[in-house]
Amino acid sequence: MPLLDVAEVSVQFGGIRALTDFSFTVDEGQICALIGPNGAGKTTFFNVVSRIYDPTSGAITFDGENLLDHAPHEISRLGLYRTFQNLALWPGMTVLQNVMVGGHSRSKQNFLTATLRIGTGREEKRLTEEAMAALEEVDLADHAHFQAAGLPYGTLKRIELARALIGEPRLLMLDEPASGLTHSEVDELAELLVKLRTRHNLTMLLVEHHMAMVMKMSEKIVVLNFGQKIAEGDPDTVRNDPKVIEAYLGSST
Amino acid sequence: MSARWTIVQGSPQHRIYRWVGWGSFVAAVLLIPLIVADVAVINIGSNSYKFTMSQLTLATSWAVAVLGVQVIVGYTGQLTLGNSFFAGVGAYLTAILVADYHWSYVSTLVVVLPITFLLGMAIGLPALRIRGLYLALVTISIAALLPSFAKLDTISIPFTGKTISELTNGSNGKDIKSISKIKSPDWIPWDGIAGFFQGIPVVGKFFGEGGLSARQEDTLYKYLIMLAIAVIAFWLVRNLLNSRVGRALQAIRDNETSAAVSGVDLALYKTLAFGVSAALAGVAGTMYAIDIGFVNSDDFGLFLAVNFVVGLVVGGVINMWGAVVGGLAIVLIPSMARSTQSVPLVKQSWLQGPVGPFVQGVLLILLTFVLPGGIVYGIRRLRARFVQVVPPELAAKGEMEEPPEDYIPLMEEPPPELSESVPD
Repeated sequence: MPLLDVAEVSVQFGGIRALTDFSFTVDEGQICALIGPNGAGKTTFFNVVSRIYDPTSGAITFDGENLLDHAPHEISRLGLYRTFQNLALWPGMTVLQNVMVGGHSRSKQNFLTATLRIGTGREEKRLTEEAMAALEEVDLADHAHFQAAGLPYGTLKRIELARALIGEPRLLMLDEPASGLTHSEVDELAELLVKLRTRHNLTMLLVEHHMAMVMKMSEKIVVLNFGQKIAEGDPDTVRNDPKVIEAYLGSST
Repeated sequence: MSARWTIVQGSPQHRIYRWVGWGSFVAAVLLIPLIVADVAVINIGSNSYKFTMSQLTLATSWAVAVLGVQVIVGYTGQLTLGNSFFAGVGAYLTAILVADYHWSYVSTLVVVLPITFLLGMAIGLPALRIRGLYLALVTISIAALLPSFAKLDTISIPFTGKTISELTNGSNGKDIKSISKIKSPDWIPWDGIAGFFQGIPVVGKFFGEGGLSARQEDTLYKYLIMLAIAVIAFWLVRNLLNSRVGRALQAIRDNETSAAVSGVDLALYKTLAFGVSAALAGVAGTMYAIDIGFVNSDDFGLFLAVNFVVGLVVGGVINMWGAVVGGLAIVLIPSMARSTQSVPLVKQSWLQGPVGPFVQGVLLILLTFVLPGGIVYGIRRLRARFVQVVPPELAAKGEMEEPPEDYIPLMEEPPPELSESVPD
């Protein structure tokens, strides 16, 4: 059974069809890339899985659970974490605190227990240690106590990654992790992602424009154009698909 | 940059540093009332400023109220102006229970806390749909409501058989101090304490001479009660804010979408934060009733609602010391502005007559420019020039590179690249 099963998902905003009958699956342990020109509907699809948008029709199943039955804040409890294309960190908090919020679904303090300090000490200690470990993995442990506001772009991207990692995701969805990075940073990132995947047994769904990285990392590629799937398969199949070439380069006629 | 004193977190120096800091704060809080006793006059130039004990007691209650605004505006990012309503409800509940049902002052908190908490949650419900200026508008109309609400004589309250205006004594205001006065118990040796400090050489003269009058003793006792309530409130809120919940609230403030994606239940956390904020306002209302002994609905109108926010902005938006400073500021700034009769470089004739509000306005405008983020941020920035506290893992690297400027919510929008906004 695939880990993520997307069946005929359509999204419509007013008169615009952002996604049309979009279906594909991601198997456990796979690195799957979702590519396509700008405006193809990739980020829209991420936001549907995060339950930020409601699909007009279709079904999404994650590990046998119907995702559409869940509220946005329940998705992370199922093991689904994501990063954002344009970053969505919390500038008012320190790097460490940002990452600790990533562990929200896996901790229990509430308004009453936190106020009265019932069992908070142990949980705070565990969260801090886990957050430091996650920061260590993305090589940012020495930035832990800086405020997130004002740090460089590449650093912020790695903080987002650490924030997702602390949740022990089963499916990690990365929305353009390489955008805005320099050439060498992209190579480092690809290496890091492959390492993290084996270490944490991750399944990854990747939206990315950086083709070299996509071709090197992915085991499966799904191509979207104008909200419709035009190709699917391993990197070699997709690379040579005439429809994909047309979508990216335009037709010769 | 001049040489800074670097302290490693958790080292013995850090412990001493913290003990000295806290020690001087505790000493100030406990000794200043003994020094002020009744009225202290400080002359600056040809202006003479009076500081009274009643200002200090009122400031403790408003500090708790500003703390409540801080929880919801500073930490959760919901611009609400309605907290004076809950302060009014708290003050009236205390006044009614003490005057009509002969409860003791402090025990009324058992009723005030849950009622204001639930009311706050109810009024927080609109915040699930609206935000920003619209939320401010909705909540400020609630604040505007209280003075007329307290005078209603058409609605009767269940269990009491009285109408609202009968319970609140309508526009005459509810007098409690003539019914139940707070008296200092005999076992507190005030004269001995005063005598001890008066006996200290050099500084002894600041503590006045001779024993304290019965009225002074009662005031000091009242101050201690209010201080205890405030300290407990601040401690509990500190626990809340330094936890998973506090971080989740800040995440909601900075970016709701990613907070939800990380598992924060926005609706639940927002409504509970409104509840906490309102309960703190309610406690402040109770403290006000203890302090003044008289509750008049007109004192809980729009002006107080705005004052709470002024206290927050002047004190500091996301630092709990900001609430302490803010509470003091909303009591002291108006009175000091009134007493200012001469300002250097300003013609004497301009300052004749009631110029207090004008001076206050100019002062507030200047403050937001000179100290954006509040007085506490100014002090922290100043302190950072001389002392830096670094976590142990950074200590090995020596001087920390200049940390990024403090982020002040409400003052600046987050840099665009930090936030991805997704329409609802």
